[in-house]
Amino acid sequence: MFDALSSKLDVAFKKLSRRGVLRPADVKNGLREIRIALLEADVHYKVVKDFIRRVEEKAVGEDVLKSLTPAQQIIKIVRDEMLDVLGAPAPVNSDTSPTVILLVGLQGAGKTTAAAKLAKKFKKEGLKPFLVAADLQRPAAVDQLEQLARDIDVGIYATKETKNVLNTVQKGIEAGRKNFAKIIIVDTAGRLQIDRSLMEELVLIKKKVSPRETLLVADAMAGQDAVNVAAGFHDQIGIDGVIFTKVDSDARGGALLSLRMVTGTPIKFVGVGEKSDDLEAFQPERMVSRILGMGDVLTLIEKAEEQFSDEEARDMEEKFLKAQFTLEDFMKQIKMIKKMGSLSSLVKMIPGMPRDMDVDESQLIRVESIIQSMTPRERRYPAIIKASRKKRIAAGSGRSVAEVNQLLRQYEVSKKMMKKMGKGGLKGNVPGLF
Amino acid sequence: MATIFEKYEKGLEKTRKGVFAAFIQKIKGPGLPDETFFQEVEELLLEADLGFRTVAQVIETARQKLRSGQTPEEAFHHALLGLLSPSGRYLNLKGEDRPVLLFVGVNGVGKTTTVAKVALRLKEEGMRPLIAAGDTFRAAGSAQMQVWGTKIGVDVVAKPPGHDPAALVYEAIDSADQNGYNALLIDTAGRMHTKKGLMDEIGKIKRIIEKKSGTKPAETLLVVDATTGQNALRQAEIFHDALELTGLILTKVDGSSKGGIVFSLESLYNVPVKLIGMGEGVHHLEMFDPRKFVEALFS
Repeated sequence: MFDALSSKLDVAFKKLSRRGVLRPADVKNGLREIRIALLEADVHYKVVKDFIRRVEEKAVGEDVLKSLTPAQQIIKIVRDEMLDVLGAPAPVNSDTSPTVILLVGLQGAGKTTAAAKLAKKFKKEGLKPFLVAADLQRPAAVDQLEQLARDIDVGIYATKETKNVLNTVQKGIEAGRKNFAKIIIVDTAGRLQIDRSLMEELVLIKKKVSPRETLLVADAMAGQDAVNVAAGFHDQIGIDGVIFTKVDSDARGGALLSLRMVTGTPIKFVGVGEKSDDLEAFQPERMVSRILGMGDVLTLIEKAEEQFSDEEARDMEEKFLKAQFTLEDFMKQIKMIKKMGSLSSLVKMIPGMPRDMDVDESQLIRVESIIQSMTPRERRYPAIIKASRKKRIAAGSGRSVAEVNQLLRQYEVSKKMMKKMGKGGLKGNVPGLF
Repeated sequence: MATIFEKYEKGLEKTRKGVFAAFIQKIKGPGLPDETFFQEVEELLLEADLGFRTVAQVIETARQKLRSGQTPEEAFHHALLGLLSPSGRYLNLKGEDRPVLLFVGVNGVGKTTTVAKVALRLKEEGMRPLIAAGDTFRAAGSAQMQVWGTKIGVDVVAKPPGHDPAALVYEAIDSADQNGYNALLIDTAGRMHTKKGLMDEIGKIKRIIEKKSGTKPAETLLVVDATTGQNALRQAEIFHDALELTGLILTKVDGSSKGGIVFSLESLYNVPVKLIGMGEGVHHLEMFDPRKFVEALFS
């Protein structure tokens, strides 16, 4: 999902990973990549400009954290800034009885689907929802919401008798009240923010029914114009939050950053599929990784930091450089990695790795059992392991001689690779298996 | 009667009055371009959704042309035009007894509305089109198509929700041939290009058309929302891989969005935009003319 960008940032990583301090020139180079990344993620160019300036101010002259490379440090600053902009996730306010929620947005943003999803979510929470079909523009939009309401078994006010939207909304809310609904969700027709008369219609509706929440439904695939859309809706009718839809696409969703910058209102939910359950709470961390296209690389860094003490890491690094890495160290690593969580969850955090890659966890256990069946001397000097020792180790670990051979071969290969890596800055990276 | 060109100009008016207005002013302004000028042009093009890479390419080409003595207006005009596909932009309707037009795209781009607009156009040109309401997934997807059918006076083959769309297409082809229709337009459910199952399904639908007709669909058209950002490139890439697109239809050009993604789409995949949808009105559909598109940006 995030592959395209993460590989680009990996290049930026590489350009920076061999430097020791955050010098202005390094920062500029790194930020150029991040600027491109943000633009390609559809963040509005003005937002990008502003954002990059903020990051640059913070980054230059910054002390590099011991455990991070300069590139990682810059990305960390970028992430922190972005989290700051995106703000904390906010729930939909449901403190009035009933709570009226008005959904607005462009054509095709996914308002009708979002209405049904919201209704289902509240229903699950035990808050009785009710739907009002007020999209009288699009052919069969009323049918669509009626059918969805039937599917999720939620009450609905729907009429095809009239084209009077305000009247429909008022009657719908009244019907919801009579139904003892706690949450009344009003679906409206899609409209352009520059369509005067349709925007005035919304202003009027808002004035007459004073919804507790007016939510802008916006498409994750939106381009630069998202800024104008958000500003248009916010300035004319005032919105209280955003539902970001179609996040199940592979769009990087930079529009979210623009939306948030322009409206200053919280992001309430994200839509992640066509089914009525596909609505999730907004998770800023995840969105940041997505906009940057980086997987959860920072989570990985953090986890590694927690598990490898500085001393251990230094010690390991020295061994790498001198290629004195023994099977004992190999096993230490396996233990550390196991402490960090399941292998497959770790792999998922690495940018560029396929999300659905299968990792054979049992292989680690196998390797561990083989090493455990060796004597300390064998672990330190694997070269002495010949046929009869192999047989004993195989018997002791319940593995075949072939598997013992395979492990020894792997060990030799890794050792050679380490030699090649030579003086490359290993600090902050997870050594060994990756 | 408003000519096609007038309508076209009107649809693009907002585009022109928006970001590109400033862009054009820059180009026509006095003096030789300096670096600030290029930086500003870059920003203007970025805001029009041309995308970072394409913008860089346009500016590079324009620089070369400026060096060779062209005026800024000519230079950018040519740089932009040069990105667009040289392929023909007419819908392929001739040379076959009963052309099949397959409409595909992600959710919410306006496929159903576009199918209705194209069907009406064909009808007005004297053809006898039939519509297959292939969106049997979205609640009331077929109902929406049927309402349109009644409105524009074009027959629609529809099935209840959940019906296998491939089977529906199969029946629709039979129906078209048996009842003397001379064009078949197939609406399909919106599908995220990231969902493999749904992409397989559309592949199957296309294969059924091929088997049944003994030939490829006359047109396999990807409907793209003009407000889409860079993700349009991914959509085109994956749909093109799966279906061999013959054209693009750009919808919602009446917005404040710039439709600049067209330049990247065409230069990358060499699939021409054939039609642009410029409003909710059923007649708001025009041929895409690159020269006018670029000229309109400059006029």
